[in-house]
Amino acid sequence: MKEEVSVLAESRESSKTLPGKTGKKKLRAWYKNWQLYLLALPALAIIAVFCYAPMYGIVIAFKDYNVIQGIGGSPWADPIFKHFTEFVTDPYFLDMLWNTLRLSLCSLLVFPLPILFALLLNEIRVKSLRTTVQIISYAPYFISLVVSVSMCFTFLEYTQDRVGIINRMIMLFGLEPVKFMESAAWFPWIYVLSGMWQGLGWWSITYVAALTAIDPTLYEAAEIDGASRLRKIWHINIPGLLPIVSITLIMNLGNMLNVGFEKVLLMQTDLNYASSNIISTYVYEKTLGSVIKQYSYGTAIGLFNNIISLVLLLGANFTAKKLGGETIL
Amino acid sequence: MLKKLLCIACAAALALGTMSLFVGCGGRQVEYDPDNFIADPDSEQIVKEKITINMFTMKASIQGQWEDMYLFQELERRTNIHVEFEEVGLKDVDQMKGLKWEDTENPTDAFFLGNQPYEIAQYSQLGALRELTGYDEYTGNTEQNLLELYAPNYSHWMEEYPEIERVTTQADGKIYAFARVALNAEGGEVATQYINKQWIENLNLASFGDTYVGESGLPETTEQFYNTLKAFKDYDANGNGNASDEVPIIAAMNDASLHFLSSAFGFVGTGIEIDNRETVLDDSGNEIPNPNYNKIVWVPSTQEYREYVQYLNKLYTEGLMHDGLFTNNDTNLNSLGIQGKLGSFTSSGAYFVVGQERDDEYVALPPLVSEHNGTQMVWEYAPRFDPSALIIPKTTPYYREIIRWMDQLYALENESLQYRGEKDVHWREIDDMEPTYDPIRGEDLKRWELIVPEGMDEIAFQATLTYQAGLGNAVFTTVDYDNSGDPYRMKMIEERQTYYPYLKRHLPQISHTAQELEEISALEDSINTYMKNNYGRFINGEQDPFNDATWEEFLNNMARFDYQSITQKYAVAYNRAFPDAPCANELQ
Amino acid sequence: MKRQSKGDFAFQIVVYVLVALLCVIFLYPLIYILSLSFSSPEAVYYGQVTFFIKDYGTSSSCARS
Repeated sequence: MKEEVSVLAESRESSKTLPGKTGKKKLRAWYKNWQLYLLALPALAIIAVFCYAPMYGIVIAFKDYNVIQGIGGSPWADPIFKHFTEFVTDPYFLDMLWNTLRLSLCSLLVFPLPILFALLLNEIRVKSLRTTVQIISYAPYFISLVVSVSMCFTFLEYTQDRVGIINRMIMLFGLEPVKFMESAAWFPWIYVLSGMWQGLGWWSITYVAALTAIDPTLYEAAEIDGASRLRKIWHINIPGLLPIVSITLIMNLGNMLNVGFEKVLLMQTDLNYASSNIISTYVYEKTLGSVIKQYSYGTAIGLFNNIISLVLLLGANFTAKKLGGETIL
Repeated sequence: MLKKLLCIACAAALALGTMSLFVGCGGRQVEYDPDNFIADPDSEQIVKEKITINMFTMKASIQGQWEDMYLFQELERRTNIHVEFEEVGLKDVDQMKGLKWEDTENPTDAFFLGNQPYEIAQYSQLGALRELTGYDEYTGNTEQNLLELYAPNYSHWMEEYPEIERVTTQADGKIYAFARVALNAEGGEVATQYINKQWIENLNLASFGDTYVGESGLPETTEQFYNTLKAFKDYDANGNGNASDEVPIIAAMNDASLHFLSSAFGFVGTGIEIDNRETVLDDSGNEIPNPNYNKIVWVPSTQEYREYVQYLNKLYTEGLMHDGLFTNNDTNLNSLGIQGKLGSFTSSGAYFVVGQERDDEYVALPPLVSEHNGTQMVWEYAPRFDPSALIIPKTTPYYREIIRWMDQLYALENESLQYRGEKDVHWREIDDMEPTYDPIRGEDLKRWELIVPEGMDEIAFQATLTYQAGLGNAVFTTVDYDNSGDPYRMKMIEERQTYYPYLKRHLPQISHTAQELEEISALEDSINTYMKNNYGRFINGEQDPFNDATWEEFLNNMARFDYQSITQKYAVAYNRAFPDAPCANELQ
Repeated sequence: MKRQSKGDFAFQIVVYVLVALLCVIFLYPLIYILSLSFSSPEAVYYGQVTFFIKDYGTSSSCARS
């Protein structure tokens, strides 16, 4: 380890003291690997054409866009930040922000579950059983969102004709049945837990892989020291997972405002609207869901959303760096 | 060396592949020939040489390709114009229409059906629509406008019914759209609230004085209706031995039953509305003048709305209304209806919900009145004249041909083509049934029935003949449209007659400028969000509408959304549309 | 064969119980939906389908003719 570091340091130093040679060296390096760059070219072209080029369309957030005059011909908004101020002064602004944040916070709360599941899987001795359980756990991930939301509705409903399975079990235990999908209080939990049902197996893959990469000699050492299974988990498995966990945690934090809109839109009903009105569904309502399509307004909200997300991501990364952990930027 | 060649070959292949992303750049190549057009409005043929015109339209899921429909093939044979339709399903039509306007490579020549008032207002203001009251640019004739020259049938209806001109004229005084003209009834479209008369007779409710029913044998006030529903629930109304399996009333959010119930309290809707009741009732039942007479109000801020919500709350929490209110759909209604469990529901025809065997049990319930409202009213959900039938973008050179083509649909002799195809091929007259008198044609019309091929569903058969199947009314209909010999349709139309004396739209059709529409929509969207939130919670009891403090809070919160501006803006537009009879709102 | 302490043995039991529970939670909805699509519409509407197919009929899963 130490030798590698010093070699790297040396090469960096040498390239620092000879600037001219660096330039030529770089060009030579590029030419030598021209096949790799060529291979990457179509992918870069696609990203450039489909991701970066359309970005000029963001300008409609500052205009009063209409379909006839198009992006170039539509008049500028007067004043230029009209749509942004309209959004921030909307009476529902704080509610939407809080609903979005609340969904993210609830997602963060269940963030440890895939880790625990990976630890659990790791404890299964019989390899064939372990692979079978893993495969069963990935199966829900491939179900489409629409199907899984409609499953949610079916299982959770409670009307005088039809009682879903969850409410039946609740009644078996003698408790009061609850109309889950018509309750604003339950919405974040249903959103998060149904997401967890789908994603638990999938997200635990990274952690299971990290666990298998842990040096087996550590276990032997712990065995000699007389550690029980639980202590082994606490002292070996968990520290082994920490680097990966911090990276995924940073990515999740950066995504705080990017709550996926399709699922919330599907789960939204008139009665849980107080909790399910989030920024991205509001954008949908304003642009495609209403009779008068306010494309400019929707774009402005989306832009606002993205800027805040970016700030959060950079902030989380910066804090992680300060705390001495791993960073992704 | 080989590796290098291989790499270059792969790179070339990838490059070509990426280039294929950019294909598809072409446009319409045909030149327009103004002499091809036959200007004589009496000739069926519109062009000498056959041409192809593109039209964008919406379609129902039951329909196939429009070019295959009998109506359009017959029109093509007569007019010599082949219309290429681009059909989009109802759910995607808004989005696709927006894209179509931006499509400069394959522009469309006309937008058929489903044009919203906002689209017409905005696009006409931006100069993107062809004025139908404009002049023919090819001949330079400035004495007669396009409609007068090339649309004699439509112009005839415009003369007979000045309302058509009023609703299609935009804020700048010009006409940009053809209207749907529905002359088959004295009013627009209305949904029927059915009640199970058989159950009322089974329980002998008429013998209890006026607790349950009025003189007509049906409930007439909200109080009586409540008692009747309670009787349906408590006793074995359907006679199957089980006293608790009846569903007294079933509804779905935003369906016509809720409008029916709110009409009993004084307003047909829960948004902006004009109050044309001259009198209201005070607590002792006396008539007093209505303080809101002729005012445009935001309904949720009124006392009447509170009474309506309290009534719904009572129905829902006491189990009289089916508690799937927020999730019900047609399948639920159908399921329960066929089993004979429904007391009251809304539908255009009872047999759609309960099947043909039980159709006789149900009759239409006339509009109710309530403690403080003595005026009967019912919601007219689609008006007779609706400016949505056709608009023509300015960029197309075929506007004269399109106007003449469209005009064919408004001719009296072509009316039957629009919903039943050709005589003795697709339909036949019924000689042994009483004919109906048509005031427009001034003659008796025999009843007709479709000749449906074996094993085919009637609506599916109609969908092969015309665009109207599954999409509602045709562009032009008269009494003949309702003159089917099918006994269930006849009963349905008869039941609907109950409502024609009481029709009301929340506001008469008025046109706004695009600017006004945008401002109104921005305000209405926010306040409707707030309404959605609270409406459901008042009904299911999470918030108590009987509690004064809760209601005060609701009103105060709603005031944050500035509904006063909304009523002001509507009042301004209303006064502009009816300068002789302005509304009573104080304008600021 | 290593001798497992009592604590470890109990731990193993807990692990297997949890895993079994999770497998049921993952699999049950999938099997349920499969049963629903093969049962008759009336049975589905009234919630009579809990696990097994009831009144087998392909009317709800086959395309409309």
